[in-house]
Amino acid sequence: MKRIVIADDSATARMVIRRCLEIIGLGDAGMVEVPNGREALARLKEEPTDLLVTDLNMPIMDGETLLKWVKGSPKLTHVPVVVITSAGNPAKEALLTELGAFAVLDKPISPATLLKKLEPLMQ
Amino acid sequence: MSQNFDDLVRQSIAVTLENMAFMEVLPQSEDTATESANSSMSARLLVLDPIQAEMILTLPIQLLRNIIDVVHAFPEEDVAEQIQADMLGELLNTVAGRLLNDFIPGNQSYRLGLPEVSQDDPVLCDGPSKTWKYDVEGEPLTFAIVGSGFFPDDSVTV
Repeated sequence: MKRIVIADDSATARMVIRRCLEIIGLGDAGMVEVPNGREALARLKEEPTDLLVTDLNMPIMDGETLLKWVKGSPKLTHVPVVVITSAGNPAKEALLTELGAFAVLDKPISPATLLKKLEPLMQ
Repeated sequence: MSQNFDDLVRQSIAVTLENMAFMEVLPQSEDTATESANSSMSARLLVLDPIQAEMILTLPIQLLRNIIDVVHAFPEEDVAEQIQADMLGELLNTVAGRLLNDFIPGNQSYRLGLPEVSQDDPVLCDGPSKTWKYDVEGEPLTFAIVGSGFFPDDSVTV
């Protein structure tokens, strides 16, 4: 993977996600950190991106809306979206998967759980 | 309030602290039961749906700095108040999500507000409430819930 966009309003959460991505072997990818969905969308349109990792609960544009915009855009719909959230449960996961999420993970994440979900994309 | 709910609260806090900062959460000891010499910071988070409640997490600044040291690896002198607030908010956000995942039936979704941080002592609003106290690396951690959604029998003590 060459470019990963990480969207979360918490700098702490972005740091944890970045560390986990580095630990599972994606440290060479360029990582772009943004604090909300709107900025994520702007950065996704700048250049080709291999993965979007997003929080659900964010100001300005939340993760669910971001997911809908990405999957509704012909230019971005191929980008795999991983939702990492503190507000997820089976009902929410089913909804997000239906909207096109590649994977949904509960916070706090660990390198092991992230690797398990991302393995198909890394091969 | 059932013992089971107390266990859910403890488990939510323990998993969050262990995964994010590799810190163990213990029952409060007599040493930490006294007022911490350090000043504290509190974060609040509203549970919006399907129940209405407020969660409050309070940590001593020194414990927050220790957690930031693990997660961000910043030198202590570089830890700005904004980073402390962000860390505390993210901790509360994660604890709240884990607790609701275990408390709300799996076929029902829920909504959380965004965490708000203040350095003032928390003032619990009206409604039944309960406070839990733990020990993390010799420092006290306090977690409180206010609101009837979690306490249907109204038999809760602060």
